[in-house]
Amino acid sequence: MMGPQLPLSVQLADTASFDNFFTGPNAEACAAVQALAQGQTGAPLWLHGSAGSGKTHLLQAAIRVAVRRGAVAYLPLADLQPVPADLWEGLDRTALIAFDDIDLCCHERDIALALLRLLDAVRANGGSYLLASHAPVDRIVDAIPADLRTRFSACAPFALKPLDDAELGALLQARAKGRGLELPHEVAEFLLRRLPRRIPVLLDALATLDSAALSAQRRLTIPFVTQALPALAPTIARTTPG
Amino acid sequence: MLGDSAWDQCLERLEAEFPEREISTWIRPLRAVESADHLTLLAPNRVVMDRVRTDFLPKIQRVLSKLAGYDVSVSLGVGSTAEPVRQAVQQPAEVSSAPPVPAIAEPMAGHTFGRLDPRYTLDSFIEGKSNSQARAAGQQVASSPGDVYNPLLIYGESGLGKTHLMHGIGNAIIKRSVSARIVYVGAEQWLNQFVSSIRFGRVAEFKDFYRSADALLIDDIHFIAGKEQSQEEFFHTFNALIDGRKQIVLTCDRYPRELDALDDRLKSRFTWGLSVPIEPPEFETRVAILLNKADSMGFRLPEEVAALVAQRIRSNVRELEGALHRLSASARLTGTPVTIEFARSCLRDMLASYDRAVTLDNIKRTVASYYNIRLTDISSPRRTRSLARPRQVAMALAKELTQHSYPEIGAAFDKDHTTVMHACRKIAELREVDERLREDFENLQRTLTN
Repeated sequence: MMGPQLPLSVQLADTASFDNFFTGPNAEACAAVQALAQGQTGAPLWLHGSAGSGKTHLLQAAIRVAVRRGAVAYLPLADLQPVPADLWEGLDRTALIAFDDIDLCCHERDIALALLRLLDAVRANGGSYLLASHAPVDRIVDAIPADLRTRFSACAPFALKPLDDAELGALLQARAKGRGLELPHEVAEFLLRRLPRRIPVLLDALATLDSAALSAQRRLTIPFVTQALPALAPTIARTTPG
Repeated sequence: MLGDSAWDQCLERLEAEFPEREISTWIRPLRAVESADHLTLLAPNRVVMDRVRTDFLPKIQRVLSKLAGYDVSVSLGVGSTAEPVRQAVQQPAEVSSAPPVPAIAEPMAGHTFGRLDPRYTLDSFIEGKSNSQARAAGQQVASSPGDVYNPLLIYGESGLGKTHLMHGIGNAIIKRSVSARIVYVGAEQWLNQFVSSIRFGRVAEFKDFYRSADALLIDDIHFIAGKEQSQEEFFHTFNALIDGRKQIVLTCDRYPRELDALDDRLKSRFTWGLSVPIEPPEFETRVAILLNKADSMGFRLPEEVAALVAQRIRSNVRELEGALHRLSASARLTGTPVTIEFARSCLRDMLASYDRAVTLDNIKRTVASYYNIRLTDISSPRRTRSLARPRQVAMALAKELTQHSYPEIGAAFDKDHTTVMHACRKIAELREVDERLREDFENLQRTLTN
C-alpha cells in the first residue's frame, strides 16, 4: 500500500496580483491602483481600511506590475521597525514606491522629514507612490509633521471596505480554484462559520488545506477540513451536542 | 552563457518559494545586470543589499546555476545603473565613483537641477489675492537673479504653494540660462550634509559646493533653527553668496523673526531682501487652482463642480489636489460624467470629515475664545456691540462653513432665522470695508478648517 504523498517543496504560490484580487465592493480602488501601477496616471493614492481589507494585496500587485516600467520598492513599515535611517536611500528615481502602514514612520521627526523629501523627489523625477494606512489622513491621530501631512492629503483617498460573508465565501472559492482545488459552497460556509473572518487567516487555512488535500489525495469535504484544520477541532467539540 | 531572461526565470522560481511579502520587499527592487557567466544584482540601498545577501543570495545562486547548468557567480551591489558597486566595496567613500565624497557629494549632486519638479513653473502657479505679492516677487527674482530681492523669503503654512513657487523660480532661471547652477535642498538635508562633511573631514568641499551656486534655494529654513553650529556655517554661506550677487531663495513656515530658536544675525539677514507671505487661497483662487490643475491633467472639470470642491475644502492647496485626484480617478474608471451629484458621492468621506470638524458648537466655542467673551454670551439676548459683532461673525461662519440652514443656525444661537440672515449680510459688507474684521474672520476660518 502506498504511503501518503508528500507535498512538493515547490507549491503553486499564492501570489498577489490584480487577477486574483477579489474586488467585491472595492472594484474602484483596485482599478485606481492598477492605473497607477501601469503608469496611466501619476497621481499618488492613499488606501485606507482595516486589517485584512486587501491593502497589502493591492500594494504588492501594483509593485509586481510597475516593475516592468522601472525600479520599484515595497516597504511594509510594520516589518521594518525601527525604520533604518538609510531605508529611503536610492529610492528617489523609482517608478513606484508602495508604503504599507505609512503612519508607522511618522513618529520620528528625522525619518518623517526624509520621507517628505523622498516623496517630493519621486514626483519630481516622474515617479509616484501608493500609501496605505488603517485610517484616512485626517483620522491619523499621531503627530505627523504638517508638511508631511499635507503631502498625504494630496493623494487621492480610497477606502477599502471589508467583504461580507457571501463575498468572503466567494473569495475563498476563487482562491481555491486558483490553487486547482474545488471548494464546495457548503464547505466555504462551514469554514466561515468557524474561522475568524479575517482574510489572512482564511487564506492561511486554505494553504493548509491545499497541502493536506494533496498529501491525502482527498477532496475538500466538511469531514476532511475538520480533520485537516486542528484549529477547528475545539470549536467543533464545543459546538457538537453530546 | 546566461540567457537574457535568466533573472526573470529565477524570479519565477523564487516567487514559488518565498512569501509575496518577502519577494516584494527584497527581491523586486533588485535590478539585474547579466553578463557572460555572471549576474550582478543592484539593490537601491544597503538595507536591501544586506538582507538579500543574508537571506536570499545562496538560494539565488543555486537556482541560477540549476537553470544555466553550471555554476553561475552572482554578486550584489548598490546602485541603479549598469555600473554596479560590487559587494566587496565597503568604504562609504567608494560607494559612488563620480564624486569624491559620496556621503556628501552624492546627495549634493542629486539636488542640483534634477530635483526641481518640472511641473512646478511660475506659469502654473495660480495667482490670487493671497499670493500675488509672492508670485510677483518670484517673477522678478527669476528674471534678474541676484539683482533684486536678495534673499527672497517666502513664508506661510504648509501646502499653500511655497515649494511650488520656489521650484518655479529655479525652473525659470534655468530656462533663461541653461548653464546656471541651481542648488535646491531642504534645510534639514543641508544640515545633514554639513554634519557629514564634518564627520568625513570634507568641510572645504561642502563650502565650495554651496558657495559656488548661482542660485541657492533652501526649502523649510525653519528646520535649522536651534542648531548653533549649522546656523554659523549657514551665516557664512549666506554672506558669501550675497556678496557674490548670487540669488538666495528661502521658504519658512512663519515670518523668520517669529522663529525663537533662530540666531538673531540670521533673522536679520533673512529679512534683508524681501519677505513675502503666502496666505491660504480665497474661494476664487481655489476654483482657479482646481480648474488649472484639472486642465494640466487633461481632466474636464465643470466649473460648478470646482466651485463645490472649493467651497467645502479650504485649508490648503494639497487637499484640493487630493480631492481633484480622487474625482479624476473615479470619473476615468467609471466613465461617469462629472456632475455635482457625482462629486458629492465620490468625495462623500472627505467632505464628511470637514463637516465633522466644523460643528456649530465648535464655531461658537472658537469665536468666543477668539474674542475673549464667555460662551454663553454668544447666544445671549444682550445686544452690545462687543457681543453682537462676535455673534454675527459666528453666525456668518456657521453659514459659510457648515451645511446648516438659516433656521438651524438660528436655533443654535437662540435667535430667529432672519437674525442670522441679517448677520450674514452685515458681515459680508463689513469684510469689504473693515480690514480688522476681515482679518478676524479669515483667522477664524483658518482655525476652524485646519
